[in-house]
Amino acid sequence: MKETPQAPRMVTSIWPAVLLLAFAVVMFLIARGYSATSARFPAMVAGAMIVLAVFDVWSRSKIPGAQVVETFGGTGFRQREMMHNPTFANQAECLGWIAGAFAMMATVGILAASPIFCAAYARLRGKLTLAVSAGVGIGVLIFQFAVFEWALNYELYRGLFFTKGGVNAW
Amino acid sequence: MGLDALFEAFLAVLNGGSLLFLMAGVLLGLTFGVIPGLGGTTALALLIPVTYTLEPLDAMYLAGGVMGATSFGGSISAILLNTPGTAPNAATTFDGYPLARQGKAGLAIGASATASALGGLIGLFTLLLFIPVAREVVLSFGSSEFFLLTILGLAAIAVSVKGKLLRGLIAACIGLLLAFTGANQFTGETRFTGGMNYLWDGIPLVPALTGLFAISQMIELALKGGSVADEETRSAAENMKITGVGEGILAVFKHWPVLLRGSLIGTVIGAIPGLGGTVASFLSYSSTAQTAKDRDTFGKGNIKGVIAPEAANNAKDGGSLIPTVAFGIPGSAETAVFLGILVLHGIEPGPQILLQNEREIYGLIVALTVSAIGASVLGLIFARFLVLITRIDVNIVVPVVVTLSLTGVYVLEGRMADVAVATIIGIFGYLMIRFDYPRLTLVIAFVLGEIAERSYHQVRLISDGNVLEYMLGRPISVILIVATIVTFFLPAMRKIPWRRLTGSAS
Repeated sequence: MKETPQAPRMVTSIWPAVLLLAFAVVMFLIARGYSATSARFPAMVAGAMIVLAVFDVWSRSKIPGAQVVETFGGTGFRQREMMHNPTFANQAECLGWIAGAFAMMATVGILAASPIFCAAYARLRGKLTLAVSAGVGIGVLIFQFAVFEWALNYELYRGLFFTKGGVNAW
Repeated sequence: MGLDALFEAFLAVLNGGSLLFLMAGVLLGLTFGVIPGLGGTTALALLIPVTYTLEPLDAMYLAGGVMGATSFGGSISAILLNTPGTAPNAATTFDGYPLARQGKAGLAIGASATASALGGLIGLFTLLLFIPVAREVVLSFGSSEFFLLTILGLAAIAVSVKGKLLRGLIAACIGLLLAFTGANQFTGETRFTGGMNYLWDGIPLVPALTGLFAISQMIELALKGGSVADEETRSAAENMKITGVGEGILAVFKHWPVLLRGSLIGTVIGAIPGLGGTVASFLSYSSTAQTAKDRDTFGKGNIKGVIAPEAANNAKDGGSLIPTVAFGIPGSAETAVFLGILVLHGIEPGPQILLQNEREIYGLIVALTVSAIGASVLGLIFARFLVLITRIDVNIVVPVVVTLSLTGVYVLEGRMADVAVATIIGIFGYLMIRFDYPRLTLVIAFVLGEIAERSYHQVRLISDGNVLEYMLGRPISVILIVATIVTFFLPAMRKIPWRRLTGSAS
């Protein structure tokens, strides 16, 4: 992995660690509500996570000793997995596409949603030509139909609009 | 018993359609290896639902085909495009691409194919030698050792995710908490379900793995965008003459010490959970370059600079299976997803995996053996064609992989809720990549969480509540406790300026 001299401010900020600390506290409190046997292990793990998250917050702060925590706790950002730094809008858009894929599958069904999503993604986000985008959509439709509906004789989900039971049937 | 299972697995490959599954896996592995950003873990995550309808042994052949072929696939794009298909192939670009630019692409690919195949075989041979020893060790284990082994495995992985110890441990805690979701196996009480009946059986493994490794990887790839290699490099690669392959094959035998050293480095590094192929290939490359008489020629097209990393990169597959098959602790993301395939076929991960599922484990070893050779042969034949695959636009790869992953997750149990889980965990996985929390420790903790809790409760019952006293009375447990403590504190101790301290004291 390449060395990254400076990680984006968003990544090194205190907030991811604070969120995880809050998550750990919530899990700890929930775990404490269970019977002794059920609570023992989750409470131990959540408790350990609270301690670790506090150190994570500390290493990201300007409180004295933060540098020592970073050195001995291995909390630096020199060897990040994600080297590029997309904008917030770009990330939100991309996550929106993924959530959109699921929403479309849930509402109109997998067989209809898959080609529409692929073609729309290639055309609108990828800026590919209409012919290529349509080709991708048709290719996915043929694959899904041939493999699942025809060869495996498996009926893919038809969507909330066309299935009885609504979300309860999930 | 071991040899019988090995022989049976070899016969099974030769009989019936198993070889087809293996070759399909090899082709898929080569394809996913060639395209940067995809890799073996994504391919395996995508394959999990497909293996559902297969016999366990056929599933092993399909998975083994992928696992054995990805590394070599990645070396093709490293040599021809100067773009490593997978992270461990980065070291191959140093000398592979200069060789290709000198018109010796065939030499480099021939050497890479042979070093990959032989390195892979050496790694697997070491694994085979280790299995009988591992079986004896596991037979002497009780609940206490199983529990401590899980903790040691998690510690080793968190520590080895370089420069991310604290965040690795936090990710492991999240993985454990996710594993505790659902009905408690001892009391029957439901935990962390939020009142949803769907979660009574816990968070399903396959949607979780698909989300963490296929969906999140696609989000990251989509944001990276662009093309695999610039147009000029790509057209140059397509016009390169791939001749001199035979010379490349002979070069590996001529430089056999380089092959052997690379393979041993790969096997040892692979066996340490969490380190993986990137460390192995770079360590092998640097040690070869530092000890070579012609070290000045490294980086300018020295064939030994291709042999060393490729041998290590492929030998690590056998090495990384040592903790997986011996103790049920996946050594890498790829083996963690592979464990997911085992779970799907009713095989429980954990230290007893070797005792109870010998047939499947030997099946995987056979698959990896055939795959190591098959991938090299097919790769040599289709090298030029495989480079064309990198022409596929990322904006086509991303939606296709996303829809196929989600469809596969649905097909498994016919539940849309699984698709929702895969999507949510996929987005969460991306946030982990973005904020640099290692997914590997989370998924391994998630896989091992149930076993850890069960073993812990068993120890409590056996010891009448005196857990620590009971553990300290068992020699193997004591060794594991000491090993865990050393594992935790070793990286920190290395950072203490001992010389300065002793100097100031004197």
